[in-house]
Amino acid sequence: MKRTLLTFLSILIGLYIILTLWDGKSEYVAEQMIWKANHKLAQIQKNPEAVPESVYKQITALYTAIMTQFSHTRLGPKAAILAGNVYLVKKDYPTARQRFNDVFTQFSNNKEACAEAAMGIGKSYEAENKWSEAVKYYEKTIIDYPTTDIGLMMPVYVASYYRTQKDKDSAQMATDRAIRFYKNILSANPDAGIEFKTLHLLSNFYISLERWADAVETMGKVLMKYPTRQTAAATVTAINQISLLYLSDSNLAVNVYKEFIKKHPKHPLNETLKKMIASFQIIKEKNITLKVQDKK
Amino acid sequence: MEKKETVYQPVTLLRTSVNTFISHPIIIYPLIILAFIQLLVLELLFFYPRFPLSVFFGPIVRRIWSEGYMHYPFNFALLPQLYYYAQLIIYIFIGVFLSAVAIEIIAAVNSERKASLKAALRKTLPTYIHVFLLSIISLSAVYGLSRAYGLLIHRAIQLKAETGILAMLKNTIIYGEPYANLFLGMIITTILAFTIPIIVIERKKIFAALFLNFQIIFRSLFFVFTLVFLPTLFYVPILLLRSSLMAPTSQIIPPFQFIILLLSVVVTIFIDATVLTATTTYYLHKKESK
Repeated sequence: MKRTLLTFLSILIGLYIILTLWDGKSEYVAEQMIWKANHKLAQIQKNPEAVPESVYKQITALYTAIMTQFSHTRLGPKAAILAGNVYLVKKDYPTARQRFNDVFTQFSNNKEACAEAAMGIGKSYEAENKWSEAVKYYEKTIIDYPTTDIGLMMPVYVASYYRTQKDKDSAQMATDRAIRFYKNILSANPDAGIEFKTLHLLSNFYISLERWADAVETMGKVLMKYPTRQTAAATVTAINQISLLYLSDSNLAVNVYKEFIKKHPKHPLNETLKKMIASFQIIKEKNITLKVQDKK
Repeated sequence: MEKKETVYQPVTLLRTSVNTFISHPIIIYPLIILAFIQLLVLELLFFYPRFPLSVFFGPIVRRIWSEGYMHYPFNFALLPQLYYYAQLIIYIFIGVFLSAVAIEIIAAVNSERKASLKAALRKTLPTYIHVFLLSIISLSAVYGLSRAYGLLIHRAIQLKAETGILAMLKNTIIYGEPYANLFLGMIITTILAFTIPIIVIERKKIFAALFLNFQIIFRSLFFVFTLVFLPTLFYVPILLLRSSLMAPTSQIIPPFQFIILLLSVVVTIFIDATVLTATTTYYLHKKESK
């Protein structure tokens, strides 16, 4: 029996070694390494000042190793960005910018990574209170990488910055520019995956600006073009809330729902929408107001 | 008289059983083969997101679950579930049969015959279909009881109580699910405890064996339950480890899921060896004393 046990053990250990070595350079190994590094980064973020220099070095070494060994995988550029983030946490902004700049040269074909690197540089300047420098890099994401997630989100970020700074003129300019930007993206990319993201960002942006009618109209477009069960339900809920609580005008919502039923006659949501149209009618007839009180 | 007293004390019988399989390791030979098969399958599942196994598992995992489970560390969230399905198949097709082989060896050891794995395999093979059917019956029973417990959980979730006895009951039902399932498993093991020994030793067919089993088991239900319950308690630390790993605050690195599954295989073998030896010895004693 001892021999059998040894044979079994040898097979299990042997197989483990073979399967580990067989796939030693794959993305999975990079995922393991990046998880380990991210885990450490999350730990030091709790109290970055108390972390010894050696720990920072350890983490950046790990990211650098992933960057060089797995540059062919999607995690190579990700590791390069995270290496820059380590220096942001450390508040060593010049080095952070240097690491982010490396991304432009090493992964110039990867638009998402380059956009993230540009944002990283912007963040480093913003952390140093150098907004004029920061905004240059934020603009870079909008101009050079407009269809990336970062590029799409950046106009809203810039406009929000001016609003929080109470710089009304700049805020208005940034807002107008953001809306123009999203409309351009929408007309240049009809029926593409990017359209859905852009419509969402635009409707949320309108909500933040309290432009309720524009928000409902944009959500109507989302509903019309992307009527999946989950998206549709969430969009209808949002349209209802805005119409009842902020607009006190159900006409827009009713028009959207009627158009939806006409365009998608067999959609499972239609029965609910018909009931909603009827409810809106009752609210209108009885003159019920649910408008949220203006805090000002 | 002395022998009778030895047999009729559950703890003593369990101690004797452990001593028996330590002094006759041939008893646990089939269970070691079973453990090896389980560990081999677990090892293959550990590597499922990686080449070359990803070629086979990739399309299945992507289709049933999602792409995310092909990546670290999310593969470890799916690993216990995949292993559970694999275990069911192993149990139905090989596990119960190897337990039957172990019982044949225990019977041989008890009657002081020469015990060998080959001979036990040869002798047990004709009973394969009956133990196979028994595995289906016992799994169906466990599944049925688990579903019933699921309904209880559903009812508990609907309870609105946040404090007091009702809230305590609600939390016990919801968070005690793994332990309840373990307990339900014990009940099924107890109720069917003598079925495999009857199939193997008496050469009875499945339904005759079940009938005979029920005739005997209800006369010594509590005793047999104790024989099953005490060794199975060794599985509780595994459940505790698992639930602590699942806690949102858990800081444990993902491969620990795999280590816990490895541990559970080893612990289960020990539990199975003890329970099988004890219940079979008890059955043989009852048969002799008739």
